[in-house]
Amino acid sequence: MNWRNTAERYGAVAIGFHWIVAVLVITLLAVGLVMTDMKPGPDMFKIYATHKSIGIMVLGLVVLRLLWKLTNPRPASLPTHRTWERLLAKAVHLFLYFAIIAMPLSGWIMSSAKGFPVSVFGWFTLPDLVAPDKDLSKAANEFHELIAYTLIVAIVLHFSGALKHHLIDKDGTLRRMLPCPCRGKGDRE
Amino acid sequence: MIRQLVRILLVLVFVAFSAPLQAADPAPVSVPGWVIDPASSQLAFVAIQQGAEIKGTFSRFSGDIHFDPARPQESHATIRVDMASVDSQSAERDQSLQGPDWFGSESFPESIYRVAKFEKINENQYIAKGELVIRDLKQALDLPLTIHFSTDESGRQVAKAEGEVSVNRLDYGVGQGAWQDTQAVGNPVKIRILVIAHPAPAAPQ
Repeated sequence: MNWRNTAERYGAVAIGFHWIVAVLVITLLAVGLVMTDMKPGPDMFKIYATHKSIGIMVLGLVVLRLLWKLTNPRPASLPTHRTWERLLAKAVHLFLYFAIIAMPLSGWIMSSAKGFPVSVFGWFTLPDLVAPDKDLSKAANEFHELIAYTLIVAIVLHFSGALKHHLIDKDGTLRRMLPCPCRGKGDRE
Repeated sequence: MIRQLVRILLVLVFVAFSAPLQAADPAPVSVPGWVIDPASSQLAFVAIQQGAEIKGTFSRFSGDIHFDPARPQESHATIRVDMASVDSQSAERDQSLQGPDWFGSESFPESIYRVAKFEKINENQYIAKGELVIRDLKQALDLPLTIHFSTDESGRQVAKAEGEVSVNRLDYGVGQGAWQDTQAVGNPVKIRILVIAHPAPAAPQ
């Protein structure tokens, strides 16, 4: 497998970014849903701190991922992809990128506005993006929550699309993002 | 006889008038008092929550300060902090801090720092030797201070005292039960004090 993307297939780096970010984002969504129901206590603090640290890690990874994406060819759509599928996939991809940038940023703003600065795994503390502000923290909180729920829907759509291509259309859409050299019938070389 | 009486009367009058004069003239002159200017003085703290610094202040505190740079050993002070006046830039956190697990402001409304004497280290550098009481726990606490004297526009003398010291919150029971966990909230808490004071008006004798 190549490090870089080709016109047909994602390279190892893009695949690595995709799946690492996927695992982290799904973890963040699950942790986020649980932690917001917790009672204040040291455990809640620790879970929030871990959530924030992983979120900032995702933000860093996304910046690198976008740089990599901009300097790599994008694998073309397969002939099996219909126009509506292409448009829907495009819309979902755009939202996914928007969300993985907007989520950490709104979380960071929320933390600053609430007066709870973000320490990344205790290694370093991020500068506050805004001064403590109750209204702003509430707005950032609502935005973070809204994007989170929309992101869950988008991930389900993205995953359903991948499964639909793999199981119903039986094309190579999913396989070209898998970290194995697996190649099915009808895949373009 | 009358002469005798007049003499006695004169002596009595003399004694009556001179007695208060003698009482108002105690041998050691008391150390001059200072009045805190609350608007320009500040009491701040820095705690560590999950690795990140949390800054806060107490907006209400008062002090009874008697200080003479020439007589640090006889100088003394008492600072009282209204624990309900905490502002950590988060209403939620302030509310938690008031609760029984932290300051317990309802049962322990005041923290008190009593300075028994000062030690002069060098020009402008002193160490306040005192005891800090938070909640119901008292610990010895030496506070290094830099003290400068100046005169403001109106010719009034101004004393500016600045100091920073680290205390361990658990020594004072701040953070009960599960909150004794120092990973969530660090044990050392930095305290910064800035006191601007003016000479107390001469008390009527």
